[in-house]
Amino acid sequence: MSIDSSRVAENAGGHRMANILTLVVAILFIAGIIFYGTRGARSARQSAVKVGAIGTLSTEGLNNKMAPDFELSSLDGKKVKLSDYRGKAVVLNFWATWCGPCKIEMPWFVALENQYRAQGLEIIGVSMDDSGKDGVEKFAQQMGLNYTVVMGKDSVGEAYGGVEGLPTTFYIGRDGKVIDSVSGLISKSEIEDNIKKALATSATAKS
Amino acid sequence: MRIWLLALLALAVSAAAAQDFPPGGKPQWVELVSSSTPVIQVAATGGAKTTLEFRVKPQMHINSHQPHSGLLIPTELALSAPKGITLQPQYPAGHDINLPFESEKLSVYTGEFSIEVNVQAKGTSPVKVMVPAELKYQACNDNSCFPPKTLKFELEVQVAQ
Repeated sequence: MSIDSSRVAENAGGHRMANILTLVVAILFIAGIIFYGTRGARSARQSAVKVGAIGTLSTEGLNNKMAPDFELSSLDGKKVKLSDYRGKAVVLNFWATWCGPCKIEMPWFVALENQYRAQGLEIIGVSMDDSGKDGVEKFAQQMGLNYTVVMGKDSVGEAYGGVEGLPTTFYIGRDGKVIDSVSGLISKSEIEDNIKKALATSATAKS
Repeated sequence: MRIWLLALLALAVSAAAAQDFPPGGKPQWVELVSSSTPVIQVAATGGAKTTLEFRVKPQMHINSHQPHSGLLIPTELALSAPKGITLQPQYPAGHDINLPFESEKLSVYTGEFSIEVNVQAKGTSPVKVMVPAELKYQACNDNSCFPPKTLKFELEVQVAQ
């Protein structure tokens, strides 16, 4: 073997080694991405279901922002437009007939509607049922709901951050801004505290 | 070599992203763990069965096939069998749980549960088919409920002579 050919062989060997090292680093990097991707996804899903008997999920994206306006049909066939309630404190409660925790809150909302209506409280229940108005109407009658119930749409749910878990409730001030939002069942006293905060707001939007 | 590395890298990033954003963008609360028979073999005029194992995510429950309330959405396995083959699911009994928000007991599946599928061929010609299957369920945890979901998969059925 001549000197030149041995250099060529050395260079070739060096390139091969560099390629192998690059490949090893790339494989480790890829494995890391997959591992952390998996772990991150698992962690996100676990956090989405990490709840106690009374716990909350985060729906804070709309807090301090104007509540997205919508127009939906109520059970009695009227058009309900959120912006028409400007000047009132609004509780926007997303629920469904198949949602057990939602049923717990309903008698509380009935009582709170009676207690705070004169002060300007308006509770709007948004049914996210796909099964149709008749089933929702029957359920609302059985539960003795005294507040407005509208048939929800996915587009409205999306506008409110997806509303994946039910119940999800938004507390809207008199100026139309979301002052708090809660996903999951909370206590009646926590609901009442949020209602009081909403009632204490001014009708004039602060810029 | 570099092109291969870039391709591998792109694949890995896609795989990691896909795990964060499953199809439909929302997570499944139930997964299909296994089937007792990867291919369900059945005689032209005969029967067979397979057992499908499912797993409900930790801290979650889904309604059983026969929930105690008509308002609740039952777990159903829909199987689109081709002509000449019938597939009949046999559901396990749910177990009753008490939750803080329910005055009555709920009949649910938690953890792992299995559904047996009875397959019958009625003089069917030899064929190998993929049968679309959909597990429809509705999940809750202790303080929230989530919209009904469908877990899609396929069962392979082979009809022999």
